[in-house]
Order: sequence, then C-alpha cells, then structure tokens
Amino acid sequence: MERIRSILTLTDDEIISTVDLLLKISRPVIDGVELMSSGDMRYRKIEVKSAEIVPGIIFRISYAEEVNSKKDVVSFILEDGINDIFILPVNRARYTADFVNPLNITSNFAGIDQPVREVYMFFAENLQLWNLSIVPFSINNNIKDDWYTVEEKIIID
Amino acid sequence: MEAVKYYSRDIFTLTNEEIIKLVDMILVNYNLDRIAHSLYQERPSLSREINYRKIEAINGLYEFAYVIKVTLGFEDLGRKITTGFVLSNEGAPGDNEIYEGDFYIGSVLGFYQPFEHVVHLNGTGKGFGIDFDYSHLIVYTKRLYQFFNDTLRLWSSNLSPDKYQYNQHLLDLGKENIQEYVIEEVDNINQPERIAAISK
Repeated sequence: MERIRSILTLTDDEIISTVDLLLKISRPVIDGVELMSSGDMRYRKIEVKSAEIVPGIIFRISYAEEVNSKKDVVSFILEDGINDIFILPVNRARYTADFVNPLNITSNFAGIDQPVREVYMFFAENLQLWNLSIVPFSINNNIKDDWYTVEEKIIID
Repeated sequence: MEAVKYYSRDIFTLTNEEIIKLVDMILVNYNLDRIAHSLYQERPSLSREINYRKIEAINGLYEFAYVIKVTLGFEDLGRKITTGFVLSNEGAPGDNEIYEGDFYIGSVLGFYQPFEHVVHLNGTGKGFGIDFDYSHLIVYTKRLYQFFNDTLRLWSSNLSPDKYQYNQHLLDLGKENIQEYVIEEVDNINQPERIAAISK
C-alpha cells in the first residue's frame, strides 16, 4: 500500500514554502480586490496550529500593504487523507466551526483554485510527500494545539 | 524547482465523455455526503443517494475558461441543488504552441470574484447559480493530478491527433447566443443503472 509523509512532518521552512505557493495561486480577495503580489506586500505573518481531531495543519496568514495598517487574514487547512492530502478553506471544515470566527478571517481563500500540475509537483518533488525512501521524517513539534508563529517579517524594498 | 517541459492538451480539447468522467471523479460518495450533510438543516439525515444529475458546460466569459455546472436531485430533498467548477487554461490563447501549459480547476466564485465590479460591473460569480461552491468539496491533490495525467492524459506526448482536436461544443460557447449546452442528463426512471453507478 502506498503511504505518504505526514503533513505534520513539514519543517518550518517547508511551511513557509507552502504558503508562498498557495497564496500565489489562490487569489484570496478583499472586497473584490485581488491579494497584492508579494512585491506589494510589506508585512506577513504565518501562524500554524494542529487541526487537533484530524491529522493536519491550520494555517493563518496575516498580511498588509503597509507595516502599520490593518492586517488582513486568510486561513486554510492542509490535511492528511489516506495516501493523499487535500486543502480546504477553514470555513468549509465543519469541525472547525467553533473557532472560525475567532480567526478573524477577512480574505476568501479559494484554496482549490489551483494549477493542477504545479501544485502536485510542489508537494511531490519539493516536499517529497510520496517519497518514502528518505524516511523517517520527524514530527514538527512546533505544531501544537496553540498557535505557533513560523514567520513574521516586514518587507522593505 | 527546475522547470520541466511537458506536452499539454488544451482544456477545450476535452470531449464530452471526458468531462463526464471528470465530474464522476469529483462528485464521488464522500463529496455527495458533504453536500448532503450541508443540507441537514433543511432535511435532517439526508443521504447521498441521488435520483437525477445534469451536467452542463457554460460560457466562462473568457476564451480560456468555461464553467461546468452540475445539477443534483437527492432522493429525499424536494428540490434540486447545483454545484460546479471552472476550468481555465494557464496563459493566454496562442501561448500553447510550446505545450507547456498548466490549467486551473477551482471555485466559480473564487475565479470571478477579483474581477467583479471591476471588469464585470454587475458581478459574475453568483450569476452562474452555483449553490455549493467547489470549495465545499474534498479534492485530493495526487488523485486529481493522476486523473488528469493518467486518465485524460493532459500532459502526455505522442497522443493520437484526435486528443488535440478542439471540442466544437466548447468552442461555440459564447458565440451566437450559445451560453450553455447539456453534456449529460440522467435520472432514476430512464437511466437507473447509470444513476446507481454514480451515486454509490
């Protein structure tokens, strides 16, 4: 039977790479305005926590065009399936209903609006999710029931 | 990641039969369950058993995209509901000479939202009448890729010439007031075996 590397073994750097990829392609929007390109972004914070009752990671990304301006928030869940993975906007996972509102999400994450080949190749080749020849992977112990800040940066030209 | 050159079919070359296979692959039991569960408030304990399904291709307003809309009738629900997705080529028309193109599948609302009230002054996404957005559905990353790669062979070279021929029905969308066409319509009276196969 085919197995995969668990999402929970992603390192902090790989979590950042995943956000780089998915936010580039997911086009979350605020009031009809597409999310700024990375070149326009001045502030980004990536937080993660365990999805708790299922093996997966909840992502919360705050970003702003100006360092001190109001932050917008987008969130999604990356979840292990049987030999596979999937991505859901956080408000689509029914078991998360209790904490969706406290996330203060302002952007709509259409997390499956994806270039099919590019997304698969990223997970297969960059993150080696289906390559068991280089096991064992260690669980990332930073991913717990409380939010953990993977990255917070101010971007200056 | 190093860029890999590969051959690509255009999404407008998908045949009607291939689009039906795609819908069959996406609207499998666990996603019919998810839609049924979302209707519990209206009809508690609604099961995923369906008695009707219609697949339509709809003009996507761009020459690189079209919308697939699926109308479903659940056994114990007194009305029909809709779901669907948008398929779009990556890159502009004419870029596909090198056959390096990827393509998108995703939420109809998500696809059009950035352009609403900017390009489309009256809004667009809701105009397709999709009740259950694609983002309701669980779509496994590898399974999706393998379906397109292995079954529809979107990125294979040396396919027979018919695989690269455009589906005229899809090309005609948006021309001469053709806004949509029905790809398949089945119900449990006239096609009980087909309904049984797609709702198990």
